[in-house]
Amino acid sequence: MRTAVSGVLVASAILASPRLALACSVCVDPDAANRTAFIVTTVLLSVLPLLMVGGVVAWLWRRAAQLRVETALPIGPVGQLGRVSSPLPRAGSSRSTRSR
Amino acid sequence: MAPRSRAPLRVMTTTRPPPLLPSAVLGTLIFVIIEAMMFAGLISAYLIIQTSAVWPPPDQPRLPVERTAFNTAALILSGVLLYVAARAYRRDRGSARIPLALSILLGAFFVIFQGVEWVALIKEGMTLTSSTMGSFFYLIVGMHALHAVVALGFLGSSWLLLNRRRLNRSTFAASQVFWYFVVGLWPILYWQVYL
Repeated sequence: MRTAVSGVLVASAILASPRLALACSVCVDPDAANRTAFIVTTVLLSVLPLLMVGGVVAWLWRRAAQLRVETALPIGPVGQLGRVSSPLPRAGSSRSTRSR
Repeated sequence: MAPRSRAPLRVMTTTRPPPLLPSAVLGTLIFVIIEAMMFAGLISAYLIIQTSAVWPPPDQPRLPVERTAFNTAALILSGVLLYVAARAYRRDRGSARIPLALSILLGAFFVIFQGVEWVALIKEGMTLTSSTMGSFFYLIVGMHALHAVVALGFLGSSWLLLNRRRLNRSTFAASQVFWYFVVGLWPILYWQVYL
């Protein structure tokens, strides 16, 4: 019963649906050269930003990978990793301010 | 006053990772992408107009294809000279002055020669309002000329800074990106508009 009612409703909807408007200037232009021009320019405007932004992102990705390799710290014997520097003079040296 | 410690001071230094791209170059690249889309829109409109109307429109003068080909070669040579200047800058900053100056001069020649051609076309009757072709021609070529003038301004400013030994790499790189865009775009415009 339910299937029959659904079938009747679907058939009614199909029969009552309006005709397609066919208003797209790309799909239904009678001139073939015009249609081609529309399609070519649509593809160009769709693909070009993806290519440009994608190209920049890909280049940045590769550069980041390259920099990660170049700036990786060398692994040395225990105690040498994270070597620190001491820019201030040691206490008791000639550069010490206490002698002034 | 508290006595100073006799122990040596150990200072931890952390180095910031170098930036992937200088900010000036990234900003110029984003600008170039936006302008490229603008030119793509103009070219798309020009292509569609060509197919939907009588083309070329009657009573319009013929475009100076051969003279503009010579001008195109001058612009491409300007781009090559800028590349030479960039390589010279990496080796020895002073040696980049001459190729950069020549690049700017050739770019200026291109803009001035285009202006001369425009005056000739206007005298022959092709103006912004004379036909669709005239409108698109002056709009597309005019926008390129405007970008060329601004890019030449950046290159000129780079040359002045280079002479004062105050040009840094990111400023020069950003100027280069803009000029390469102007140079690379022109052959496409020449192919679509003139040929």
